[in-house]
Amino acid sequence: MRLLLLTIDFPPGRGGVQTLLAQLATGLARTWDVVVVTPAAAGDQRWDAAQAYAVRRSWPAAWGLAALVGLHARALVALLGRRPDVLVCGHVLLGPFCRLVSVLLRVPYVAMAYAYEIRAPRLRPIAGLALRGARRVVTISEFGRRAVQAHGVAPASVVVVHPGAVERAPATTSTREPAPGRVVLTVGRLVDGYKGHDMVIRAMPLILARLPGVRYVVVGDGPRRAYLERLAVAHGVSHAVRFVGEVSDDEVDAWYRRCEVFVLAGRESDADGGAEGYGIACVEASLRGKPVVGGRSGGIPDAVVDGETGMLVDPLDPADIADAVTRLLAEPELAARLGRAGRRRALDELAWSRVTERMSRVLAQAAAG
Amino acid sequence: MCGIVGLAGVEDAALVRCMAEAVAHRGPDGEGFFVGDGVSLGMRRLSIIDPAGSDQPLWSEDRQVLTICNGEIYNYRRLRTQLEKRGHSFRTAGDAETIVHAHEEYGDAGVHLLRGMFAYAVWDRRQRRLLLVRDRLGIKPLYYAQAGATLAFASEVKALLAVPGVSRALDVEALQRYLTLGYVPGPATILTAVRKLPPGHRLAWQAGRVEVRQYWDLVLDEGARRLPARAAAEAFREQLEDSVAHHQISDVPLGVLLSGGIDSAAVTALLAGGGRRVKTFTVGFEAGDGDEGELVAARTVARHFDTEHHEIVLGSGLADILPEIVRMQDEPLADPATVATFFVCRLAAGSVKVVLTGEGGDELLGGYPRYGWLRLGERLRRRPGLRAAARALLASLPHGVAGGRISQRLATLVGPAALEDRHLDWVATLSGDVQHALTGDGGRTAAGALVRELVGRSGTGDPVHDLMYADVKTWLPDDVLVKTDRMSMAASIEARVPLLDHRLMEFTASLPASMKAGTLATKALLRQALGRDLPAATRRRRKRAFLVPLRRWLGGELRELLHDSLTSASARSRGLVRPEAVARLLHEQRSGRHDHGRALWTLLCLELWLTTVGDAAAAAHD
Repeated sequence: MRLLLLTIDFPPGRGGVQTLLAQLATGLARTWDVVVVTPAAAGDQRWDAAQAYAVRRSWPAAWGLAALVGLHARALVALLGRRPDVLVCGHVLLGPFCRLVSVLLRVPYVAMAYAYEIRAPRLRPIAGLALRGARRVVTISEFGRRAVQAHGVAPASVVVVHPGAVERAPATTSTREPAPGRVVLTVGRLVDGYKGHDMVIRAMPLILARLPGVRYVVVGDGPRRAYLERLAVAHGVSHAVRFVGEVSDDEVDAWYRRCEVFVLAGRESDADGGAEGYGIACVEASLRGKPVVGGRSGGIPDAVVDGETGMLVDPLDPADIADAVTRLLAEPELAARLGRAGRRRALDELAWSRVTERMSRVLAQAAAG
Repeated sequence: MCGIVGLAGVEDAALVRCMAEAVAHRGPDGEGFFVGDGVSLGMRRLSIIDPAGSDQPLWSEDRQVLTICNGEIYNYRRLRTQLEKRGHSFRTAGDAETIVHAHEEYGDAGVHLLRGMFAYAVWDRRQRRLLLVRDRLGIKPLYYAQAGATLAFASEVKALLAVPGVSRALDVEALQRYLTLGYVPGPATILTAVRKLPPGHRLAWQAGRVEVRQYWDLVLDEGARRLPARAAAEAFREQLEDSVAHHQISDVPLGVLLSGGIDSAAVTALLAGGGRRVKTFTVGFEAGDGDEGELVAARTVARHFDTEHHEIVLGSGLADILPEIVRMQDEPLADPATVATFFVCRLAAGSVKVVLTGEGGDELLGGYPRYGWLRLGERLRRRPGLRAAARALLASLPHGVAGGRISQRLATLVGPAALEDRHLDWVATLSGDVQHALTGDGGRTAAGALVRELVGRSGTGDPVHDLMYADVKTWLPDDVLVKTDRMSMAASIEARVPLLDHRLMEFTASLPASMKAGTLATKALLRQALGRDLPAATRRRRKRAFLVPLRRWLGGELRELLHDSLTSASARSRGLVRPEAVARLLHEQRSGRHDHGRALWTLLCLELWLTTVGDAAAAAHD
C-alpha cells in the first residue's frame, strides 16, 4: 500500500516531532511504500540518501509563506503522480490542503496532532478544519486526545500512539564539561515558558539546602536562556546551574547517562495553549535507566508513570519539585528501581516496532474507510 | 501583624522590654520574650490568625529553634500539610509556626517556601546563630544596628534608639538623597548607625560576625514567545484572583482602602466576587480644591459593588497631628499621601482589623505615565530630525507656570540628559535649581548614581522595564510601603497588598513592558483583565497622583507651623540647608509667584522629624 507523509518538521532538523515522524517512516517502510514530502534543509541530501524510503524536498522552510506554497505544490505533484492509499498530514497547518485533496482526489488522510498547535487560540479555526476532516486523528497522549476531542472530533476516530525513544550505542565522547557534583538534568529547547526550567531553578535553593553538591544542568538553547540565567542569579543559585547550550546528539546522550535524575517540570498555560504534548525527553531518560521527575500537566503523565518510572509533581510548586528530586538523590534504591522500570517500559511497551505497528494499523483502517 | 525587636550578643531583659515598648502600637494584643543563650528577643503581637494561640516566640518540637515574626504567611495551610507530611508537629493553628519548621527542614532557604509579607528572626540554639529575613519586596520593615559585637534589630528605628551605644549621628549623605527623592533610599537610613535590611535579603549573625545576602530578586523580561494581549490578561486575572483569595485569610474582619483608582477598585471587585459584603474606606478633602473627585470616584466603585462604604473628610486640626505622623514615619518621608493614609487607617480601625490596599499596582503594572513618556523619548531620541525639531521647540518656550510643565515634558522626551537624570527630573521633590540653592548638587548626583546602578543591574535593555526595576528597589520599599506599614500600624491595623504577591509579580514581570505601560495608556493589562467588572468611569479613569491640597494647607492651616519650623533658631543653626534659600522659597510661596509646595513639604517633614525624633541627632551633628 502506498503512503504519502506531508510534513513541515523532518530531519535533519532536530526535535521531538522530527524524530517521531522519521522513526515512523522508517518503521512503516518495511510494509508500506512510503514517500515523504517536506521542505529542504541544510544537509538534507546526505540524510535522505541513507533512508529506506523516498524523500521529496520543496523550498526551504526559511522562505516563510513561499515555502508553504512550495510544499503544497510539491505535495500536489506527488499526489497526482502516485495516488497514495492514504495521506498523513504532519501538521494542522497543512490540514486545509489535505482536506481539499481528500475530497477532490478521494485520498483519505490521517492527521497528526501534538499539543500546542491544536490548543493555541490563534490556530483554533484551522486546527478544527484539519482535524474534523481526517479519517483518523493520531495524537501522542491522553492530553492530546482531550484537546482533539475539544474540537468536536468523534472519540472513535482519535487514536493515541505514544512515541518511543531511540536506543543508540553509548557515545564515545563524554560530557565535554565535567560538572562536579551530582547532576540533575533537563533537555529541551529554551523557547517556551511551559517547560518549567524556571520552576526547577526556583526549587534549587531548597535542593541545595539538603544536598549542597547538586548541579542543575540545562541542555538546549533558545531565546529564553538569558532570562533563565538572570533568574538563577536572582535566586542565588547561579553557581549550581549550568547552561550547556545546544550540543551534538552524542553529547546529549552523554548527559543523559551522566545525570542521576531527569526533570521536566512542564506546566499547562491555558492562556496560550502552551503545554508539553508528551515529553519525549522523559522517555529518552527512562531508556538510559534514569528516574524522572515530571510536572503533572499536559502529556507528561503518559511519558512518566507516577511511582513506577518516576514521580509526578505539581509543576507550579518549587517545594514539591525539590522534595521529589531530593528524595530520588537521597534514596539510591528507589532511584534505581524507577530507572529500571523506565528502561523496561521504553524497550518494551514503547519499542519502535510496537509504535509503528500501532501506527500501521491506524493507517490501514483509514485506507480501508 | 506585630513588631519584633532583639539583641544578639547580649542578655538584657529590661532593655529588650524597653525596645518592645517602643513598637507597642504595632501589637497591642500581647507580647512575648526570650532572653537566654546570649540573645534577647522580644515581640508585640496584633492577633489576626489564630488569635487565641500562636503566642510568640514559636518553638520547634525539640525547642532548639525559635522564631519571632512580623507579618503573614498566606500559604501557611498548604505549607503546614507539606511539613506535617515530613514529620513536623504543629502546636498552634497559626501561620508563623511554619517558619520554624521550614527552617528546621531547609535552613536559610526555608524563606523560599513562604508566600506573604514578613520580617522574622530565627534563633538556632545549637549553632548559636541568629537569622534575620525580610520579605521579597520589603512590605514589612526590618532595621538593624551594630555596636561592637552586638547586633540590635527592630521593626522600627524608634526601638533601636533605646539601645545604648547606637549613635544618633545623622547620615548627611542620606539626608541629601532624602532632599532629592523625598525618602531615604536603602540600605542607608537617616542615621549613620542604623541600616535597613534590604527587601529580598537575609542577615546571619554568628559569634559577632554579620553576613548579609540576597535571596530573591525580580527579573523583568520581554518574554520569548509573544502572548496575545487577551490571553495575557486572562492569565493575569487568574493570578490576581489567586492572590486576593490568599490575602483574605484571616480570623478577624477585613476591609479595603478605596482610593477611587483602578487598583483598589480591582481588589474590591475580586473581594466582592467572593460573595460577602465588602467594607470600604475612603479619605477625601473639603470641597473647593477639586479633590472631591477622589471621593466621588470611590463612591462610584462602592455603589457598583454595593459595599458598606465609609468616608472621612479632612477638615482642620492637621497642624496638631502632623508632628505625630512624622514621628510615626520613623525616618523623614515627604510623601503627602501619608497624611491621607494616616486618616483613612484610623477610620478603618473603627470597624476592621485588616485592610487590603491597591498598593504596588503603579510599579507592577506601569501606572506611572512617566514610563510611557520616557519610552517615547527613547524612540524619538533615535531619530535625529525629530529630536532636533523638538529641541528647537524646547529652546523657544517661554518660562512660566504652564510653560514650565510643558517644557519639562519635552525635556524628558528629547533632552540631552541621560535616562536616569530625566527620570529624576520627573520624580524629584526638589527641582535641580532649588536643590542647588539649598544644599548644592550632592544629593542629586548621588540619587542619579543610585538610579544608574539599578538600571544597570536590571539590564533588560528596555527603558520602561529598567525604570520599573529601579522603582521596585527604591520608591516602593522606601516610600510607598513605609507609608502603608507605618500608618496602618499607627492605627494598630494590618494592611495587606495583594498586588505585591511575589508570584503575581513574577508572572507580570515576564510580560512585555508594552503590555503594561503604553505610550499614552497606563495599566493596559489590568484594564483588559478586569475591565468588564469595573464601573465604566473607573475603567476609563486616567492616572492621577494622589491629590493632596498641599498649596492650600501650606498657605492656610499649616502656614504658621511651616514658617515657625523652617525659620526657628534651631532650624537655622543646623547648617543642613542654606537659611536664605529657605527664606526665598517661603517668600515666593507666600507671594504666590511660585508653587514650591513639594519642596517646602520636604523641608517641613525633615524639620519636624529632627525636632520630634532627631533632636539629639542634630546636636550630635553640630
